[in-house]
Amino acid sequence: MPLFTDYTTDGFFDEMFEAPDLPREEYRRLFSGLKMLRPATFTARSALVDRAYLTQGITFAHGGREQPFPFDLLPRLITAGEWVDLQQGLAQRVRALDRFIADIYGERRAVADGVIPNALVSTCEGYVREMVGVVPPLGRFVHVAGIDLVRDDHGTWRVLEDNLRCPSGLSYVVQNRAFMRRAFPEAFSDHHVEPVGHAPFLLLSALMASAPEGRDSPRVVVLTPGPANAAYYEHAFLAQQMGVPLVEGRDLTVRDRRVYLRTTAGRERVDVIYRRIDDGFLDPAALQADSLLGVAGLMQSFREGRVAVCNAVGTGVADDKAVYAYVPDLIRYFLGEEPMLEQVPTYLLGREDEREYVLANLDSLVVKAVDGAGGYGMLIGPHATPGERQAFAKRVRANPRGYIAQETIRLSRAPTLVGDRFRARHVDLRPFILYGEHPVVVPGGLTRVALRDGSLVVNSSQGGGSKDTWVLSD
Amino acid sequence: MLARVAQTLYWIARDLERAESFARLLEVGQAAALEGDSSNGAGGRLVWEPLVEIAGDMDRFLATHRRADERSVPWFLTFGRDNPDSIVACLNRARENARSVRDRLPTEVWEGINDAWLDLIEWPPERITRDGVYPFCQGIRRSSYLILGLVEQSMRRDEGWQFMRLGRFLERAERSARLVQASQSAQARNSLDEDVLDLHGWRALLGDASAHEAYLQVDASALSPESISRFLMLDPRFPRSVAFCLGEVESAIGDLVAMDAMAPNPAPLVLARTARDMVEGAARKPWGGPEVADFIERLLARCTSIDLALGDSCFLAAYERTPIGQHAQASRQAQN
Repeated sequence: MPLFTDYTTDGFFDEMFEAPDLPREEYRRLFSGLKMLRPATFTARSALVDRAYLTQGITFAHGGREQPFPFDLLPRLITAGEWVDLQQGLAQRVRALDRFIADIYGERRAVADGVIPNALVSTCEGYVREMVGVVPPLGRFVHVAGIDLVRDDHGTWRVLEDNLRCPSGLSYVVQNRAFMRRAFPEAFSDHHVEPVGHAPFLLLSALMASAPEGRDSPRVVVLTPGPANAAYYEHAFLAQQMGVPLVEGRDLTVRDRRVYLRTTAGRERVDVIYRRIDDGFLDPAALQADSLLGVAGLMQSFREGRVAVCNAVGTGVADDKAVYAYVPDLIRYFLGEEPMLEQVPTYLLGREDEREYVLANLDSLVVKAVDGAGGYGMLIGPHATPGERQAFAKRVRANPRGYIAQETIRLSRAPTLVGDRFRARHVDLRPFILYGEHPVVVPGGLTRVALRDGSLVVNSSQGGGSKDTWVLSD
Repeated sequence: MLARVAQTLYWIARDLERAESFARLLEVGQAAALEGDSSNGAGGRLVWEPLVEIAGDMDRFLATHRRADERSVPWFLTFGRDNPDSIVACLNRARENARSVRDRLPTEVWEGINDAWLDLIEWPPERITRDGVYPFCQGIRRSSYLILGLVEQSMRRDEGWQFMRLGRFLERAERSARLVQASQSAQARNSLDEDVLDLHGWRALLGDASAHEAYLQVDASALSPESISRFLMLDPRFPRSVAFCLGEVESAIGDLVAMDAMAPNPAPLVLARTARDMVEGAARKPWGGPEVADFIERLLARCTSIDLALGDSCFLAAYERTPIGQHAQASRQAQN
């Protein structure tokens, strides 16, 4: 089995192997199939997929050249039993976070009842004052959530962070599967894999359910910042798969406090905007005045319930990494349920005792900016130089509310093709939860791979790749 | 349909048609230069200068090149960075435009355009000088046929398809008309000696429009400059003749109005109808003489006015340009 020659697990939790040459039960059929395959065959197919991604324009710019988004042909498997637990835990989490956001901009019961400090909430970077008192259709703020999960040394799933603003990656879930089927069809034999191709339809259903009342067959659009954005491919793909227009801010206009498309034949009413631009840029009249991406008058129309904006404005409060520490309590408070998913132990640097502990132990902890995303603004203590740690400590002292610290999780690893054989690389999982009437979890999600040896950063903007993720149905 | 999207589709089709027509032009120019006695010296100008006139404008060309010859013109038309309508520039624009409306294009069409571009950038520019233009131009033409085939086979006949059809045929009408125009004026300059009929050049003209075989079927006996230019301008059934193309333009606009994608009786439709009237009028009269040049001039002006009217009434010209700074802001939007 030359593809697995010298493959080692090095004491990490390996997704595929209990020990070298001993695959976990769910991977056994895949493993024996791979053993039959010549390495040259596997690498040739891998190259074929790269070319297909290039042709499709599923790329990112690297050193001025377009590179295909790296896709690894060995899928990541999740058993049916595991998935049931994850699915319920994810739905629970998103229901609670949605209720929390509605509460923040509404009655603030959670604050009044002492579940979460007022100071923490109103200092959130993602807090939008203009949203106070707004009740969107269904009372729903979060329509699309991407919750990042990791597995630790024991294989325990833990929530790493919540992404409730414009989580990205659903298109890759669908496309990875499509390319997987083309390039590696025999891998599917003897497996029952939950399909994911209907994810755009699930998204559309969630968006339609959130239309303002009284609008039959509501008009949905995807609002993109344009081709210069790194996720533009996804915006175009989702619009196309949902069969709705992909629009830029300049394609929309507000008249009589309603939003319209500018078409060749005149104006056409818009009911639901799935927006992929940041809160501040949505409306130059109400938010950041210099925005070239938004629509003047949109906020007023939204506040008056004449158009739905998905996700609603201001959901960033629940992305805040300091709020993360309170999520288990928020689940208990809003749902009266025990949290089903574990988290990563987290220290709030606004609290003096925790801050001092963290600063004394920077070499073993991960420190993150509370509003950071995309793997930026973080310090991975064990991998940092003393100089980097010192610089970060200074930033923390200057703005303790701006940071949190977490125990370093030794992320699980999965075999990934590097050159002509498999090497172990760290992975995480981003499942997507689509929330219209009820939360629906797309089976599996996007498995992201840190391609550099030893790296923990899986974000595609920083050299991450991805794997197809199979939820096995028996 | 979104005005911006309609305009973008229209321009994708125009740019692809333009790149293809320049590729054909170059191939025939090269063939003519190799064969005729005009292959070198002053005679070379007879081949290469009209090419520049057809494809763009002479003044711009002369700003960066000393003279039109077998090196400068192929370069200018293919990779020339000083030429905003070089084949490479056209394809680049078509591809960037296709990316910006890719949700409205069938995946196959986007892939066809993207692949054409990816192939093109693999092409070492110096090969043009080394191996001649033929392999390059053939690649461009094949890509163009492939894309057009994908458009025809996979696109629903909706507004998007109609706007692409409109762009393609308006561009083609203009290209064919300019081809005839350039040959006319070249002939006028060179036929001081009335006995020497530059039939060689006129047959090359048919090659430009891939019309040679079609023409022979219609009118093989009378190979004269007048009959060739009449064929290219007025033949009702040849898909590169100006008359045919303008018929398609009018029909596309009519179909768009019928599917409520344009307001009733829009200015572009009125203009397209009068263009057709001009062509039909010319077909009833004897062809030839000095009024032909005037006719072509007026027809070209009409094509321009159709394009402008589309911009005003349909593409909402007021917002057609991407605001400066949009790209910078777009690239900063967090997609976490």
